[in-house]
Amino acid sequence: MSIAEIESAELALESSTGGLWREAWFRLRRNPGAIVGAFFVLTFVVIAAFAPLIAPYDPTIVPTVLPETCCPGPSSAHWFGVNVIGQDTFSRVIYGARLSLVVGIVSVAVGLSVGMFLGAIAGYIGGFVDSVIMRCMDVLLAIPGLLLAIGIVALDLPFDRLYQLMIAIGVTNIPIFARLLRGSILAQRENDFVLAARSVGVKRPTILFSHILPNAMSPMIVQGTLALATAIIDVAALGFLGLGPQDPSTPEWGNMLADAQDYLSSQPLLAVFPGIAIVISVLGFNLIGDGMREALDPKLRGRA
Amino acid sequence: MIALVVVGASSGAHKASKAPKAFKTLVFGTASDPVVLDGALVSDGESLRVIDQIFESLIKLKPGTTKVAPGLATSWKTAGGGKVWTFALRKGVKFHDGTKFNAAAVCYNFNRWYNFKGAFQSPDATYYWQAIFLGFHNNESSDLSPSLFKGCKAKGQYSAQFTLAKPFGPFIPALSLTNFAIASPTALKKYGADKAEIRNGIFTPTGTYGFKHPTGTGPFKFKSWTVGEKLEIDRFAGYWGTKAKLGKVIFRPISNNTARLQALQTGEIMGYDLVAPQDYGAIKGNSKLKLLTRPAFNVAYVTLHQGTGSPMNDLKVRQAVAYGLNRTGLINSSAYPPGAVVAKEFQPPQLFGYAKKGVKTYNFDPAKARTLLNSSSCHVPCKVDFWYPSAVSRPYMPDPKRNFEVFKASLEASGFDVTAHTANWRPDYVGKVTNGTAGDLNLIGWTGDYGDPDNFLGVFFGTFSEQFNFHNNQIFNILQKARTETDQAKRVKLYEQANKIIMNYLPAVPYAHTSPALGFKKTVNGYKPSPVSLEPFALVSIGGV
Repeated sequence: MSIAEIESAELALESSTGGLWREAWFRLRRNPGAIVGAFFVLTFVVIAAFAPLIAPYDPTIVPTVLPETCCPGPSSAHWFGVNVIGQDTFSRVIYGARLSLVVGIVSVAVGLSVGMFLGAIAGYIGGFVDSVIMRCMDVLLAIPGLLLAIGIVALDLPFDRLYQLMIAIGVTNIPIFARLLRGSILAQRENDFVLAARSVGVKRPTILFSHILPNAMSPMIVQGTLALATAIIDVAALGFLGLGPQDPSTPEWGNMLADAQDYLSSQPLLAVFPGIAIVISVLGFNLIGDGMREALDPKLRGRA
Repeated sequence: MIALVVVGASSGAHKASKAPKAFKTLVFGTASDPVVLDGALVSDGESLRVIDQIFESLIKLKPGTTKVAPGLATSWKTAGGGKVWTFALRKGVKFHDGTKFNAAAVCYNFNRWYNFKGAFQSPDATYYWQAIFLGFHNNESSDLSPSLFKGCKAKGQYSAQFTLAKPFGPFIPALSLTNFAIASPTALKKYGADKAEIRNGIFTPTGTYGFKHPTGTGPFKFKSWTVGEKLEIDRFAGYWGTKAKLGKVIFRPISNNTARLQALQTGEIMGYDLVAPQDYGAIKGNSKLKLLTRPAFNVAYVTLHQGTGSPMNDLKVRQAVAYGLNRTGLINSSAYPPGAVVAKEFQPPQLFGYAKKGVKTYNFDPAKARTLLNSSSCHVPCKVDFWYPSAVSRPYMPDPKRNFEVFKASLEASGFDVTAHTANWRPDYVGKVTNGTAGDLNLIGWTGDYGDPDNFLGVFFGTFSEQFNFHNNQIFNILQKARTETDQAKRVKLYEQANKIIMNYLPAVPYAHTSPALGFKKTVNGYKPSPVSLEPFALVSIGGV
C-alpha cells in the first residue's frame, strides 16, 4: 500500500465515524439559541425562496386610485397596510427578503472565495507574498466596512446597482476571511500531521487542500454565517442611504425604511415592519453563527 | 410662586423699556444663506427673498399676484414699435445711503449689467440677465446671443429711456424681477460691486458690496450678516411709501426640513418656507401655527426626449405615454400636498394665454395606450429609459422617487418596459436633462419667475433645445411671434393657440401644478404668499401677545 492509499483509507475512516462534524452537529442541536436561530433563518429562506407564492400582491404594483391620506394601516386585504402610493407592505417585506438573501449570499460568497484564496496563499507560501497580501488586507480593514462599501458603490461601476452592492459588500468581507484563514493555516502548518505528511513527501498543494484546509474550515463557516447577518444589515444600510437598487420600486428593506422616515411621527408602522424583518433575519444568522462557533470550538469538544 | 412673580415683574420691565419703539422683530427660517445680496448676480430663492426687502425694481407686482404695478417707475410708454420704452420715475426717493434716486441711477444700474465683462458673463453669475436680455454689450462667449437691451439714457432727472434691439412682449413683467432692482450707484462703486473672479469654477464676487453694503431703496435696510447664523435687516425710516410695520427681520438658516418645523414648533423661528407635504398635518393640527399656501405658479412635467434611437420620435408612442401616466392618481394621493392640480397645459391656469377649451386631454387609459403602441413603431413591450432625480425635493415634485414609482407602474400596465436611472439633482441630473442625455423620459419641472407665458412656453419650446430635441417650426414660430408681439389681446390668442398645438404635438407631458406652503405662527399677520415668491415683509405685523 502506498502512503497515499493509506491516507485515503484513513480519511474514509474518519468521515464514516463523522468525527468533528458529527460531534458539532450533536452539540448544535442541544443549543436552544441555535435552534431559535435556525428557525428564523429557515423561515427567512423559505419566504425568500417562495416569495411569489407567499406574497398576495405584486410588490411593485400601484393601484389606479392611490390612498388619499398616508397611509392606510393593516387590514384584511393588506396585512401590514400599504405605503404612501398604495403598494402592499406585506408583499414588499416578503420580496425584500429575497433581495436581502440573494445579495447577502452572493456578497459573502465573493468575500469568502477571494478572501480564502488570498488567505491560503499568504498563509501557506508565507514570506514576502504573505507580507504584501496581508498589508493590503490591513489597508482594507482600516476603512470602516460600510464606508468602504459606500465608496465602492459611489464608483458607479458599469453594472446594475444590484451587482454593485454585491461587489461592494463582498469586498468589505475579503480581508476578514483572508486574515482568518491565514491565521488558521499558520496554526495548522506546524501541526504534527502536516509535518508527517511533508516528511513522507506528499505534494504541497495536496497538503494544503487535503490536510490543512479541511481543518481550518470551521472558523470560516462560523464567520461566513455571521458575515451573512452583517451583509443583510449592510444592504439595508446602503438602501437607506439611497445607494440601493436604482429602481425605487424594487422592494428593499433599507429603502422601505428610508421612505418611512418622512412619516415616522405620524405613521410609525411603515418603519416597524421592514425593521422587524431586518431584526429577525439578522438575529437568526447571528444565533446560528454563535451556536456553530460553540459547537465547532475544539476546546469545548467532549463537553456538552 | 416667588419665581413666578419675579419673572412677571422682569418681563413687565422689559416691555416697558421697549414700549416707545413698539416695533417687533420677525425671525424667519430659511433653507440656506443667500449667495450674495446683489440681485444681478443671483438666481436662488433664498438670496432673492432678502434682496427683495432691501431693493425695489422699476415695476412691482401687486402683492399675492403676478399683475404688474408701478414700482420705482410711476408710468411707462412705448414708441418705435415696442423698441423704445420711456419710464417716468418716482420723485423723492432716497437710497439707504442718503443718495438720490433718479434717472442717472437707473441707467447706471442697467448699463452696469449691459456692460458686464469677464467672470460676470458666466451664466451662473448673470442667469436672469441672460435669460431675458440674452447677451451683453461685448459678448465674450460665442454661446451668447446679441443683447436685446441696447442702452438706457437719462432724459432729465426723472425720465429714463430704454432702447431694445427688437420688440419684446414680456418686457414690463420681466422688469418686475428682483434681479433688476435698482441699487445705489455710489455704494456699488464704493464697495467694489464689479469685482469678482471664477474660483474653482464658481463665480465669486470679491468686493464687499454684496456681503456688507447692499444699498437699495426698499422698506428695509441691511444691518448685518453672519454666515450660517443670521442675517438682519432693519426698518428704513426714510422709505418713500408705506413704512414697514416690523422693526427688524432676522433670517436664520436651518437647512434641515424637519429641524425647521421643530424650530417653528418651539418658537425659535416664527415662519418658514416650503413646508414638506408630510408636515402639513403637524402645522394644521397645532393651534398656535398656521399654513399659508402660494397660488400655483409652477409645472411638473415628463420630458419625452426625441432624437435618433428614441421611441419618442413617433407621435403615437408619445400619445401612449400621455395616456399611460396615471397623473390623476398621483396628484390626488398623499404624495402630493393638498391644493395640487393635474396639469393639462404647460402653464398655470390663472396666467393669461391658458386655453380654456379645445385642448387635447389625456386621461389615464392603459388599454388605449396599448392599442396606440401596437399601431406604432414601438410594439408592446416598448422599452424606454426613464430618469428621476434622487435626494431632492422641489415645490412641484415633493418626492421624485414616488412620482417615478407611480409612473413606472402605470406605464408598465400600459405596455411599456421601463428601465430606471437616477442621479443626484445637482450637478448631474439637471445637466443631463438639459443636454438631452437623461433617457427617453425624465422627471423635471419649472417654477415661474414673472407673470408671462413666455416664462413657461417660451423657455421650454421657444427654440430648439437639446432637452426635448425636436424641430417643429409651427411651435417655434408661434412662440417667437408671441414673444415680439406687444398687443396684449393678440398675445393672449397666440399663447392659447400655442398651448393647443403643444398638447397635440406632445414634446413632453405636464402633470402637476402645486401650491407650495409656508408655515407661520398664528400671531404673524399680513404675510401675503405670492405665486413668484416675492413677498414683502414690510406688510407683516406681529399681533397678539
